[in-house]
Amino acid sequence: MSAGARTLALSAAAMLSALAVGFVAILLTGKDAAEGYAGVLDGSFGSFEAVGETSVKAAVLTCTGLSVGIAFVVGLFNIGAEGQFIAGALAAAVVGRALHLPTALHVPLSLLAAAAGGALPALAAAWLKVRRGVHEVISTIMLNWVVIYTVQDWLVVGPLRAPSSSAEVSASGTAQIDVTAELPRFFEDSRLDVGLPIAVVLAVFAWFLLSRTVLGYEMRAVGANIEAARAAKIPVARRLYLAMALSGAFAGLGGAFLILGTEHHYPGVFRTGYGFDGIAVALVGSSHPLGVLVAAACFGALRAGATRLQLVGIHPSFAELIQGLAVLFVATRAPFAAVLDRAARALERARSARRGAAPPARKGDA
Amino acid sequence: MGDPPALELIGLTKIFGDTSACVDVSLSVGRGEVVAVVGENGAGKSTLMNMAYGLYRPTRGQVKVAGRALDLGSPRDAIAAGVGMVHQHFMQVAPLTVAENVALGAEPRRRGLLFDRREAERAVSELAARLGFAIDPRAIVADCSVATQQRVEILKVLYRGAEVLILDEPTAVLAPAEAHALLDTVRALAAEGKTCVLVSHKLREVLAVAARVAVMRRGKLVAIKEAKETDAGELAELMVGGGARAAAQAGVGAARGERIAALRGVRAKSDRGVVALDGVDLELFAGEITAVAGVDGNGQTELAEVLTGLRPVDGGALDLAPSARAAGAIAHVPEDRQRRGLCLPLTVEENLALGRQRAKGLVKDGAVLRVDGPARARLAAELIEALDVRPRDPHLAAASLSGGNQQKVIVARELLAAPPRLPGSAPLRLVVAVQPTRGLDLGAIANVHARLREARDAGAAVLVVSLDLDEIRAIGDRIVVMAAGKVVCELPAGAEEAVIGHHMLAGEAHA
Repeated sequence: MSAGARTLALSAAAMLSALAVGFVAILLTGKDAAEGYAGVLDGSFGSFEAVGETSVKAAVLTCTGLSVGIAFVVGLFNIGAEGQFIAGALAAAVVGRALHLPTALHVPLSLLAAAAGGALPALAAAWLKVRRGVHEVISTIMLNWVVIYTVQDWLVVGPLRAPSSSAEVSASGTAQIDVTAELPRFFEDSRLDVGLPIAVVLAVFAWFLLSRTVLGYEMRAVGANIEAARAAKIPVARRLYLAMALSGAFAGLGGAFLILGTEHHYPGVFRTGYGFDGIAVALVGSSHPLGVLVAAACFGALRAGATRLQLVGIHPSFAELIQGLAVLFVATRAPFAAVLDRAARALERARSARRGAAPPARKGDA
Repeated sequence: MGDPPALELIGLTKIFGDTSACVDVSLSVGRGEVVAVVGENGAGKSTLMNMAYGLYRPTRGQVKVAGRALDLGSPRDAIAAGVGMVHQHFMQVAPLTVAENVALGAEPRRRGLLFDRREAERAVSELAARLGFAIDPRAIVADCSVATQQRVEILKVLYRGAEVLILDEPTAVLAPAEAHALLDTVRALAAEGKTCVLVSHKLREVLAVAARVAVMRRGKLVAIKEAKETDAGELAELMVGGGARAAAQAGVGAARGERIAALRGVRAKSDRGVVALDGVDLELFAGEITAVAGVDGNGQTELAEVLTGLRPVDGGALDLAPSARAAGAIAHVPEDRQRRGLCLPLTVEENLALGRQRAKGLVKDGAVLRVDGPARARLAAELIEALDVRPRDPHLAAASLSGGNQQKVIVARELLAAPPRLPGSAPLRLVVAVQPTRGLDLGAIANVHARLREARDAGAAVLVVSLDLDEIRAIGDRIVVMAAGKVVCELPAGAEEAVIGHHMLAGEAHA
């Protein structure tokens, strides 16, 4: 069993266990869990509209999941995806409003601005780490608040607030972006927009970078053992900057998807938690770009379908419970791993017995 | 014999997955006896000892201490029965004192609640005095030498009332004089009636101290010899199973070539900020192996780091020949393989490319530099074959290899991942190898030495730092001795051990 397949199986086991435990928890509250789950499924995949809803959320979660995941690769724990997400969202809203260009230019430029906006606070954390030895967990948490307060308590209610005399829809937040900056949608009656295909491309890009390029190899070496990487003459600081810049850019793009695709301006109240959920997505996807994609689809569906729980009288926070359980089960994977390895060995033995071949040696040394 | 043996291993077998690490090993050790267990890497020595100590649960078999069968797989029961293990890697809390470390987990109490530091210090002093250790119970462990830290480990085991001591590769980390002292300690313990089981690679030491020698090969106990009736040659043959052993060639290499490195009055600080190199003068020449002898901690580590560019020079001049400045022209087998040499979570194949990842033979050009997977796999297969890395699977994480095989991975990469095996990289001009054979078995040591000579013959200047005088004498075309951060003398190939030892202690304020 390859390491990749093993990781995948463990994540799937964690996700299924979380769903099972969540099911029991709902039963314990005396509600109809089966009906609730059916509702979630219907709300996330049951209709054309529902699939669109899921895809929008999955696209955003893919971005924040990749953000946390790529920082993990170099051994950094980026808790700042939330702040980077907000910085990117605001940058997209500003560029979407300030420039007047055809869609083919306006959307890419707004996305680029969001990537740069997200990268900025992440690079600040990387700089503090490299030059001053500040632990990135501390700096990214702090920078979250710097960004959140700067954006929500000053810029959006102050300099960037939409003039109230204007005829635009919003009562608060920034002014509406130009129509040319809105993410093009594929269908009339679905919110599925180009965000999802872009997110998939980003995941494939990250996978290619990490597993096929020398740069990605060097980043993984830095994450695996920074001292050995330094001894191997890898420019460690530059790899850390690159990873954090990408991490922030991914989170910022997630914010842009929501602004350019759904909100169409930076609203007065905009606390989504997508940045923090990126941590869960990265953990369940075991920081592998394609694993992140799958985990984001699961959590996106859960988010999209959560409102249906209310229809059968189940509190929607059970969706968050399931997400939390999945992370917990991934973090405590030891029991799953033991069962899995035993099963894999038994399978291997059965197969080799059938072939009459000697079992492959596994352990070479005492 | 009326008494039951102090330690009795009966038919111990341990199977990991599909591999038998240890098969039906029986060994009994009497009270006050010293028995050595020797064998190559992976022969099953450590597995056997870990079963005796309860760290591993045997698949089959039994462990008896003074006639009582132990709960298998329970270190707690083994400790209660008086079995103690001195591990190769010390398990200590560095910022605490010697006495605190020794007492940790079995602290004497005052009024049932407070740690009785004075009582702990008294008990440790008493124990130390009995064994002839000059050791201050109030010293901070982090400030102690490696030899002293090992004594702390021994004290810890005795403090818990051990009657049977298992010492796993105790001299691997020690300088010759310290190793002699350790062997004296073992003799003293035996004279007190303690039973000692010594796991070691070093046959001469084993023969000097043990009454009987048990030889293991591929998980089986192949012989138990009386030390008086055997010699190192016979034991070595039993260990490798009559396989061909490379004869130790006294080094007389190719003619001395171009000067690759010249150090004049080089000064540098250690990690802890104290002067480690205090004016080193040394020249290294192509086609010559320079072996550096010295008591551990006299600047050898820092010398290697200065040469490989990992440590800044504070004063003096370090001149490298232009050819040695090319990327990849310097090979470095670092002292601490897990810290500097390997990325443990990455695969063996990926580790074999570390530092060579941009060499032309391993990349595909394009808009971005891509890893040439097939080329890397080919190189890995060749290197694994060349140094007999086990298991052979290049896709295993480096962390899952034993220490000896991890070392082989580093040596293979540093010495062999160069032209002609790896086209497009610079030829090796300088090889800096610190303790390159630590933890390796005889066959692997001969292989590594042969590779070092190959690098020399191909025109590299080779610097080997070792604490093992046998190795120094076997490999050096010339020998330099370091003491107190200086090169104190230079000796010809094969200089007498006593002469080297004399110079090693020359500059030392003996602790």
